[in-house]
Amino acid sequence: MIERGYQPERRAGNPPALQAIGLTKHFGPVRAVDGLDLAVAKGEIYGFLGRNGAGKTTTIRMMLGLIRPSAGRVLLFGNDVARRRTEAVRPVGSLVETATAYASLTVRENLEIQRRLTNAPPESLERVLSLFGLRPYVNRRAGQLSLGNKQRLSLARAVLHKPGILILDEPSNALDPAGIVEIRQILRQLRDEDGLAILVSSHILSEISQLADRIGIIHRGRLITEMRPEELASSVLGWEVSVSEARRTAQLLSDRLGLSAIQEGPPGRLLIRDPSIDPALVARLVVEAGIGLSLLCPVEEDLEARFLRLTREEEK
Amino acid sequence: MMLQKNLSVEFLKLRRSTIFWFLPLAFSLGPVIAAVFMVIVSHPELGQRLGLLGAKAQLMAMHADWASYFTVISQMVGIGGMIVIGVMAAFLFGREYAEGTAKNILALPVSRAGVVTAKLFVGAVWYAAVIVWVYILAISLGSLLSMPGYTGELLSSAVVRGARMAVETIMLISIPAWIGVASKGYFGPLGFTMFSLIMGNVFGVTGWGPWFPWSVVPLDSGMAGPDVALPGWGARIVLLATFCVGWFLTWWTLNTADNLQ
Repeated sequence: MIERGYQPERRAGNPPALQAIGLTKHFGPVRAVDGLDLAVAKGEIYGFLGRNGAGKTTTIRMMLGLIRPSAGRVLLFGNDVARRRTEAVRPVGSLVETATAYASLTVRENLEIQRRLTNAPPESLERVLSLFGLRPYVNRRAGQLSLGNKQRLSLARAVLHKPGILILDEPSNALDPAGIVEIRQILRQLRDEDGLAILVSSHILSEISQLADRIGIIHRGRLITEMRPEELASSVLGWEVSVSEARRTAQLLSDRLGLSAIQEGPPGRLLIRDPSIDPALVARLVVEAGIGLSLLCPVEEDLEARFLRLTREEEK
Repeated sequence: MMLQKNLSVEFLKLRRSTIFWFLPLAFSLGPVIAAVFMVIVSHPELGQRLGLLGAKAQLMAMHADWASYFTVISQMVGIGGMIVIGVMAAFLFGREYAEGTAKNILALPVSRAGVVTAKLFVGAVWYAAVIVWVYILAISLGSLLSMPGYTGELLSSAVVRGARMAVETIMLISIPAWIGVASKGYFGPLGFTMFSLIMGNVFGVTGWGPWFPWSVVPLDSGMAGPDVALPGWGARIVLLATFCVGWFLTWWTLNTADNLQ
């Protein structure tokens, strides 16, 4: 379901804030990322989904100029990261893999380092302390924070200088369910109020499907598909029909609707492997033929099953 | 302007770390041990009672006077300083990888040349401050011992030598810094520091000392004895070149290598 505040028309004419073109990275014989193309528009949350080791972090590191691509390029607001790294990453806030901070420095000092190096105004510090609920810990050393608060500190650091693009690698790591919801709300708020382009990587399907406006699935370094979250969340594989005369119904639907993908299941049950049929039409045909119809319902593939199917198809 | 910000950030990180205080404290052992040696040398009966420590003291310091005291101090500072500068490089560069903060800095819109320069500058200032502290402590302890042979000329000569050795030692910081970046941790630069100490001694005795950067400081400290000539300008040019090569390699590695940690 598309969230409130999401404005596709606002994004339609915008050039991409973040663009990867033919992005490739080899580590010796291993192709960690293989010709990846993706674009994230201003005001869009892009979910970057993949199993562990799929190439998400390597892609993100290339986007931030931490790794040099073997081929292809990354443009951030049109600036090529490989050629003009400093200018290109200026509008970027990031969180790469694990949340880290200077353990001997306080929360405030850790944020102060980021503030100085990004030329952010002094008041930005107070803003992120409030936004991420870090006020009670402001004078606590980062080494004494819980993992969840360390994650909040890293996120606060990422948005401190009001970036135009936010690149977050597994931002929900170490957060409890309440924390995950809170961070989700903050990211939506940043998208809606500041028009941020946000790329969020994760291997957690439910998290991405609830947060992203668009989802890209990466597998073995390749972007295998892009979809809207509702497509990933509710994918109808076909229709299940329970009738008094299964064989006759199959013949009827085959003759009248040209359906060939009909599979007989347990007695009286049929599985129509065509998600595009009109269920009302099927019901009318069956009833008009005098066949008893007791069930007509969609067969849905759940989130995990869909994801696994897509990645397995890619492996074949 | 950006370099100034880099410097302020590096000084903040250093100031809040335990090692900032621990290192001068540990290095203070040098002057304390030198003072103990002087006491032992001036009281031979005490040396006999202390066994090996007494024997070592007798060997190192021929006389309990200011000249011998400063000789012992400069030798301790020479060798100890090379270890300290390696530890500093490991902390300033290797720590960013050990704590996983390197990726945060490298993803920022900050020039990597600026990062390297700021860290090396902080290392140089830190080392200079430690040396100043060590010499103040050494002179204070020496004064307490009321040793004979003090002259203003001797003091200024010891201070000039200490300052010269400090500059020479600072020139050695950039290579372990590069090793810290290349090996992404503490152990590389620390291991290299130990290795360079051994190699410095080996090259020192073969006569190639003035041309081998890690032999220059021990030679200048007088470790090879009073008959061996002190390193000249050629040796200092070698040290400067070593520093420049280390700076370049550190920058180049940060700029071109894959930052996977």
